[in-house]
Amino acid sequence: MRWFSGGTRGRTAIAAGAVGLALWAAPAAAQTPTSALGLGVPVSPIDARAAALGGTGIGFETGSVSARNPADIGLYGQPVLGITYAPEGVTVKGDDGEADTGRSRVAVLRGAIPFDEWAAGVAFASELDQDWQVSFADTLFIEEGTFPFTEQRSQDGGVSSVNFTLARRLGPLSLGAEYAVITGRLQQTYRRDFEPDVDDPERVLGSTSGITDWEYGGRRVRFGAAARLTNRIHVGADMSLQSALTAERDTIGGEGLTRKFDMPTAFEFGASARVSDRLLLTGAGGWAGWSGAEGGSDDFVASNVVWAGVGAELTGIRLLGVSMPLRFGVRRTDLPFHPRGRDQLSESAVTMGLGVRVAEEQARVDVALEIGSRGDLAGSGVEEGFQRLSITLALFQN
Amino acid sequence: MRPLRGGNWRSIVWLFAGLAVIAVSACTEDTLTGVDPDAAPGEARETIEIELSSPSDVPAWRDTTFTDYALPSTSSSRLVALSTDLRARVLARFATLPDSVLVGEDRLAVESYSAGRIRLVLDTTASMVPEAGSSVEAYSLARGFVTREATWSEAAAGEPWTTPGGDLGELLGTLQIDSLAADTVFLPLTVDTDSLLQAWLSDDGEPGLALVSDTDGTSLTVRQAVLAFDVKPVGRDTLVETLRAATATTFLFDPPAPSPGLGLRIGGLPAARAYVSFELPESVGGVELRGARINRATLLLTSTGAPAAPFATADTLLASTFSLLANPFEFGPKSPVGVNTANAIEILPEAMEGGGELELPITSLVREWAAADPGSMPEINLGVRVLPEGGALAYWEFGHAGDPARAPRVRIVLTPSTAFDLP
Repeated sequence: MRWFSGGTRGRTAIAAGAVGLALWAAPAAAQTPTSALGLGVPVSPIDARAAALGGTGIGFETGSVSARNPADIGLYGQPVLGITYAPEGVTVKGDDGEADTGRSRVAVLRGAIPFDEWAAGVAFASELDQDWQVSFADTLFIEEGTFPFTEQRSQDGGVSSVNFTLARRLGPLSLGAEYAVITGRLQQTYRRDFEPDVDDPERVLGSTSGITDWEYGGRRVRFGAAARLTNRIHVGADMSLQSALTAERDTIGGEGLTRKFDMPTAFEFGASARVSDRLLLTGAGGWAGWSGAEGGSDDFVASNVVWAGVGAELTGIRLLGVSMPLRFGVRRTDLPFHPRGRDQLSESAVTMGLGVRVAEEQARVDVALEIGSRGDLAGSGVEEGFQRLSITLALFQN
Repeated sequence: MRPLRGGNWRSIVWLFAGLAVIAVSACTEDTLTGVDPDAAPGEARETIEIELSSPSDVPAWRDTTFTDYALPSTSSSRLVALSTDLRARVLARFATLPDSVLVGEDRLAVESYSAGRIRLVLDTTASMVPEAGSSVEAYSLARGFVTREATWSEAAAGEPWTTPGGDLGELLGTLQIDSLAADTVFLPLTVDTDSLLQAWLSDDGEPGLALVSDTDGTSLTVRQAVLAFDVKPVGRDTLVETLRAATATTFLFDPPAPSPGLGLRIGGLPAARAYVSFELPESVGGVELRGARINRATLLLTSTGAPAAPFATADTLLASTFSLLANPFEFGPKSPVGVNTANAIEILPEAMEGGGELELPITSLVREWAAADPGSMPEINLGVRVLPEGGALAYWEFGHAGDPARAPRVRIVLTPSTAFDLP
């Protein structure tokens, strides 16, 4: 018996007696999008206003349609419904140059209804973005012939949460609790299309493909508090505890498999201060213990995450006859997953945005633009620049 | 809370509808193209190639040659030849001579036959005559023959000719062939046509005739032999030209094809097929073959070289591989035949003469095996034949499982089934 491992790109790997059950495993190296690292990229469940204010979203004076702090819904004076859509363009950098891609996601869909001193809400939020898709060309050299091919690999899906929130208002204080069902699906695919043998076009290999589906499950509880310290100063903080994330592989194409990843305990806090009638300053930060989420991977390391952001909102500005607050900010956050033996990635961005009230101030449209980068090629082996546009439509919020 | 007016509602609904349209494309990813294959993220199963030799890697391998799938009598052509390597003669019998003819609306009895001749349609591309020309003679046979059983040495099974090559009787006519410019030629009968055909009419064409060439270097491939003659009806002066195809025809040749022995033979006359049955291992070196994506599978047969004359050929024959619906080692030569596994493959004589390999695609068969449950399809049964069968005396032989240097092999290009893990 002879074995011919599929050599590519001139490496005619004829491994007599050796088995080439090779998984072309993920090398954590150049031209790897950050969503392909570990369990992906955490997504902040914030609306466009918070995104424009340095990614804060906690400690605002009137709450927000972000889903950071469950106590925020206690600050609503009326029912609120908001959806935030956040597409981003990404430039992945590598040793051989740059390549453009893009992602889009619904960051958060938040609804809440206050009644008496209580408020109840539901939020659908993105947790981990695992979407990516790459393609490349290569050539397979085997005894049978020489077959150029193109290959496409992708992951489609990620982790989301459905959050059920209850808040109680106690004077200037709001306390909230939230129970979240962690859910999601991931589909891993590849497809390899061979061209005919370069020497004999009659000799063909056709195509080959593979697909694996995963389902995620887990739970999380979160407690938060928000307080009006003065008429101009508001603060908020929350803490979340999360069960292990369970990932179950389907049995099509192989044996079923269950993997468990420890999810982080997280703390967040924030504050806002209206320093004048026309200027609001805000800042927020947090810590998440991602280091347990490594899952035994040989390729990736999970590390704890610290994040912080600050922003400013100018109000009273009228453009085209419409009152339109302008927002600016900066933020920086660590990313939990990075290639083993390389530096942890961080993400930093400058943020800006504006908002406009419509429908006799019963609805609000906010837009944010974040321009930043993740990682660095020299230190972490992965680097990408991004420009994210967040659009939030909120109804009934004051 | 202030109630909303109708116009406000509409604008809000439109805003949400627009955002919803955008959101349906949420969580999508644009393809990152042109990445370095060595640095590409994700997982994929490598496409690999394995080669299994019989019987060392495939213990349950069996192969053999079965013959008689086409006989000289069922061949699409007949041979008249004379050379140092080959002697061949065509035998024919005309058993459907008319005893009446239709003239206008009247069917009239035959009064006499005349102007008998044999129309021969030649395959001039597969024929050869010496520069000085050749001749073909038609002889009456002194004894009859059994079409499917007649050989150079026997008129019927167990009944040898008195003279090998057929017991020739009266010379019926001669055709001189100076060139192969015409593919249709007429051999005139120089005997009394009426007497000859009346005798054939009364004896159902027995014993028939033989077409013979005594010119060395002659090889004529006869596609068709038809008896043509004129009929004079009773009471009429008109002659009616009439044609009758041979009702029984075959050809005799010497030397006969040697027995295939253990080697795997395809082609020749009687036509031979190579039949193979084997069980692929469920896994090889940790790679599960069952369930894998089969990109390509090939049966490799190694030629034993060119056979001796006249069974060698410089022509390119076509080989076809087909599935068998039952194990040929249980059901024998008449095992039911399935479908062809691929288009026919050219057998290049220059490669086969040097002991080269014939690569026969069997992808569809191996793919079917890989997709089946082990119990439902434990083995692969296939056959190899030349197309068209019986079209030539030439054959090729290949090594069998007991021939270590030339044992058949199976080469499979496959991609193992997928079961990715998370990072």
